Amino acid sequence: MKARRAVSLTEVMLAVGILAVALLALIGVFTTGLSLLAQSRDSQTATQLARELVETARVTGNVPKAALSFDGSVPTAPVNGFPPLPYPARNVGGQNYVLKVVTLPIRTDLVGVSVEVTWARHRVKTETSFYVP
Amino acid sequence: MILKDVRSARGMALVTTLLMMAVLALMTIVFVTRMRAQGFFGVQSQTSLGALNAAEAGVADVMSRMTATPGYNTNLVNQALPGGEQSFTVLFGPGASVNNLTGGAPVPGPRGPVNPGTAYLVVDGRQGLSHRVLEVILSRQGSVSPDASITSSGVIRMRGNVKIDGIQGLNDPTPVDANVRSNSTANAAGQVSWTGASGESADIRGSVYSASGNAAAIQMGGATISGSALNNQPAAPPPVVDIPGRIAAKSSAAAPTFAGSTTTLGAGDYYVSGNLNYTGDIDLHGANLYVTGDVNVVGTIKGEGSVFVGGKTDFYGDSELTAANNRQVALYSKGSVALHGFDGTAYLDGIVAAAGNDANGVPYSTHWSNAKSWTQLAQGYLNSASPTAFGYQGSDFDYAIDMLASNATANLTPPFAVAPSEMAPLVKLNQMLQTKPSTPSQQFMVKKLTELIDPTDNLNGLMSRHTDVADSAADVNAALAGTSSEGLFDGGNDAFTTFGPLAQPLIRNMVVTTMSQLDYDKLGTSYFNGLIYTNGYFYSDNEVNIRGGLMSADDGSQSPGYPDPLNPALQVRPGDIYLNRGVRVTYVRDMLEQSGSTIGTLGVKVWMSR
Repeated sequence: MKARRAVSLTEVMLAVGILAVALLALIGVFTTGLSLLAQSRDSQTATQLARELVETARVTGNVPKAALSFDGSVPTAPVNGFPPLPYPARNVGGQNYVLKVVTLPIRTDLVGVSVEVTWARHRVKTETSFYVP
Repeated sequence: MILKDVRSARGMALVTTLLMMAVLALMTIVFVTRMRAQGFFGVQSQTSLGALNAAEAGVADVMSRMTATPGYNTNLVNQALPGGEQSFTVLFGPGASVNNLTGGAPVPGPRGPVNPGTAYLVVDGRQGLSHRVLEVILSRQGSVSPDASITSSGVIRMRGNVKIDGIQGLNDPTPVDANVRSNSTANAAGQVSWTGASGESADIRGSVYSASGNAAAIQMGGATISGSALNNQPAAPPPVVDIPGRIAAKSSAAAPTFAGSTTTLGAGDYYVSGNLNYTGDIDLHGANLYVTGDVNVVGTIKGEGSVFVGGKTDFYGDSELTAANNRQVALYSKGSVALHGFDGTAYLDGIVAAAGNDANGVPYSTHWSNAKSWTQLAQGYLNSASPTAFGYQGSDFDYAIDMLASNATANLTPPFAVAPSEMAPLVKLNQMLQTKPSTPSQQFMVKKLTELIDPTDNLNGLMSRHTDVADSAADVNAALAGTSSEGLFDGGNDAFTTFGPLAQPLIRNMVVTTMSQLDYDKLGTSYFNGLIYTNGYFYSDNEVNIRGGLMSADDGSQSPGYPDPLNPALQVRPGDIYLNRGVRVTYVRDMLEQSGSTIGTLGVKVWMSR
């Protein structure tokens, strides 16, 4: 009888051990997952901010023809209203997003604009688009 | 009993644990799957926006190329953007992009007809596995007021005899309002003004507008204005045209050679680095001339084409530049434009006074006086609704033209009762002038009188520029060749009896439009046919006749000037329009109304996304 009782205790202990390991692993997975989800959300927010600047610049049409760099962390002063908002930075959900804008003349009447958004230690770079100033 | 319970419960903990593990595993799978999906959508969202950026970059790239070359239709395949991750593709052809910016009629496009003056672009942007397709319609855009013959960003000043009227098109003389508009908002008097000496007049067939709130902004006392004279009007500034950019885009074009008395430039682009100084005629045959410096031409610029000038523009004498198919702007000048007309009236007054009498004892001053008054008589018949005025051989117009330039027997019915010795004053004046020493002024006036006597070449040129009436024009010319020996107008008048009803409006339009521009009472008039756009000032003097429109748009890049040689102290500022000592402007609405006008910046009219 004693041996059989001990078997039950062993089973329970084994089950608790397995559960403990599984739960620890699950907690790790969930923690990492939630972190990645937050990072993905931040990345999409940054992309949307960059897109907002690209669209506003296309509407206002005041893109300079010269090769210029505007760093929102300084921030570099805009020239003739360029870059438009959300440059130099915007706070969304407690996260501060800083924008860096670079203009690159392609031809005499065509300018490329590259927008880079940074927040915390992450960075997203939206690719170049062209403008006819 | 207890033993039995223990036996039955054996393994339950493990089973329960395994079940919980299964549930937890399922939850984990769901969580990981959702996490992966979220990550995938996030990445795809970013690459999709990158592809959209690439497509928009493609639109901008093609717009840039079409600005430099309106007929551009070369495929752009996988054009990489800086960084190398994005690219775009634009294909031209059936079912793809269509450029009809320079066309004259609708052409098939992927979603229906593409109107003249527009381009339909299909741009495929890519980044990674994502791609976005944009469809856009491009057209010229600008805030050009379609009813303004003269538009300035500064003041508009007129002196001497001024006549401003408007027609619908070069082959449609239907009168339209030819308004004068100053967009200067300066709170000062005289933003639009006219001053005339005794006997001089100003006749404006339209309204005068000023954006200034000053109650005395419009000072047109003594002028005849068919419409209103209103200050404090909304500004409608001309569009901004990047003239240096357009010139720079053509830096690899061929360099033309200007030599001899006439230089003919065939279809295509031509680039002149530096100034263009030329004495002689420049004949443009669909040519676009790009000059980085100043343009100084003593002679004629004629034909079909465009001239882009990076500096100032000065025309002396008989300048003529004709807008191509009603849509091409004739002249873009970054610097100021000055048209110095030859004062033929003063020249002929002096020559005639010293010439004495002709072989029949008739003073040349009488011929000169008759030429002016009979011309006005003929022009009056052109505008008359009387059934006897115009339209058949023996009409009033026919007799008036006979009096001016024909040796036909004089009609004895007033007002055509003319002594035979006084018939054809234009011919006699021309003969007298040809006996005078050959000088540029003498040659100019001989040429002008010859054109007035037999201006067939003028109308032939007009017809040839309108390909849509080429067949009719050929018929007219053939008929004229057989029925007329006295010049176009007389022949055109006679041809009414030759042609059927369908051809008559065409002939009438041609004759009326052409003759309305040939002011016989201003024999020295210099002609400039086309639209003139400048970022500096516009100045004209001495009976300049402009058929088209004027636009000055000060962009801060130019300096004031002193263009009047008889009044060196007269300062004209950028954006101002100064019409000095007699000017006639006939506004041609079609030139501005056509959506394909090169005035204005090429822009996206409609965005569409697939």
